[in-house]
Amino acid sequence: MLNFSVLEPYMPLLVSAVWITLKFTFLSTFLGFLGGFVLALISISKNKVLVPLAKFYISVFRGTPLLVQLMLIYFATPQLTGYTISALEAGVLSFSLNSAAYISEALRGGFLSVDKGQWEAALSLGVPKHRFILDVILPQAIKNTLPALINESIALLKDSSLVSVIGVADTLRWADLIQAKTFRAFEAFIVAAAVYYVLVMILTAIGSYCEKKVRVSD
Amino acid sequence: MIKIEHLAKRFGDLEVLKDINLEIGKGQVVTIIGPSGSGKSTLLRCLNLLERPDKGVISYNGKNILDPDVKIENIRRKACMVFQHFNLFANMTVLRNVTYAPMVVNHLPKDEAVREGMKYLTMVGLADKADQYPSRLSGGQKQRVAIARAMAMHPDVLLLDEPTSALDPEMVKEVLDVIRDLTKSGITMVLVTHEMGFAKDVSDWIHFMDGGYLIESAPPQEFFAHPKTDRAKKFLSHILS
Repeated sequence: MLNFSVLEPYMPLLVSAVWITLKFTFLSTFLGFLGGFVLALISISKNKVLVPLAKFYISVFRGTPLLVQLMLIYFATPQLTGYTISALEAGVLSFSLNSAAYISEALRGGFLSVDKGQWEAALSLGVPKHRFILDVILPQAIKNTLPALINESIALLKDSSLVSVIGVADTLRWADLIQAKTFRAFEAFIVAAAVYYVLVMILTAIGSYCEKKVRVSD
Repeated sequence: MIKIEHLAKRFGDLEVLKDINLEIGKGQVVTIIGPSGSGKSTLLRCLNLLERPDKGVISYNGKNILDPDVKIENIRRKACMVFQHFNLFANMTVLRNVTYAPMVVNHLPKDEAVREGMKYLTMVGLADKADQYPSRLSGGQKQRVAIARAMAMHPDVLLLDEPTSALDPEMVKEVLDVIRDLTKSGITMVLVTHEMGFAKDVSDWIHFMDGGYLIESAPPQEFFAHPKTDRAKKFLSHILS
């Protein structure tokens, strides 16, 4: 009674849908990491203006649903600015802003876990702060937070399915479309689920590999 | 070369340094001793501005390094510190630990920095560990790398903050031997230590601190044989008994 062969004509579409899912994940992880890095630096600084702002930002983006953030950005941006934001832009923007909040908290913990002696040693050799934060502190902070960062990118990969709601032709959207056309809900959604699962497994494997790599200094 | 005048530093309510006056000549080996909490380490850390004094003057060759227009990095690269807990960069190999600051701060080309770095690693007897990470080294080896790292910056003055206090007893000697060799090279050195025998051997001058004050200064033979102040006598009798 199951009939996967009905999906066959739609396989090329699936490839491009998976590609879109991956693009979302990578762009949002990358931009989220950059944003999170800046937020983490602010959080460990003693700046009296920026620290509360960063805290507020983090609490808002962690305290509201990602789907609500996505809808707000997609539907409210044209109303507020007149700029017609594409679904792709809205997705990447909301996911990046959201993951920046989570990643900054992980990185902040990572920064604080780096021994204070590392800062002092670099300072006492005359190394400028911006240099040794990148060369000495950040690599150790990342090492300490790598599991959390990998978790975050896995969460982003799965959450990327939310963009189907605003019409982006991602993996979930593909399944939705197929079941509408073929009336084969199970086949369509189980394939989508399998795709996400395989992608998560690949990310997990990459994560373990990276963890092994950074442990060479142990 | 270094002149300290009326130096004071407090942490909150705690006055750690009170009116310190001290002169260190070029090429001198100066040892600061005293009970814990006497302000020795803080004084040392003021010398490369890891701590910023509240009052007073520290001049290097006549220039007050506490002037606001002095670039702190330029002081630190010339007054390098060796720490009690080594503080080697954990994410870098031994060689990279030694070449990093010369490349980034002094803009030494890589091949030259590596050549220099290997020279100093050879000097401390650890050339064969160049590609290891610090976590693989013993405490004594880490401290010798830390000394090589500081020396690779060609500092005008080397500051050593209890360099053997965190070491297992059997590793103290290998580090002291390296420091002893350095004292013969003519570098200016300020040492905070509890190794009295060693201090007596290598120092040109002993400064005894207690309660944030510099209590007594004398050449080592004189200081250890005939301490003048009661506090120094008491300290020595505690330590040497």
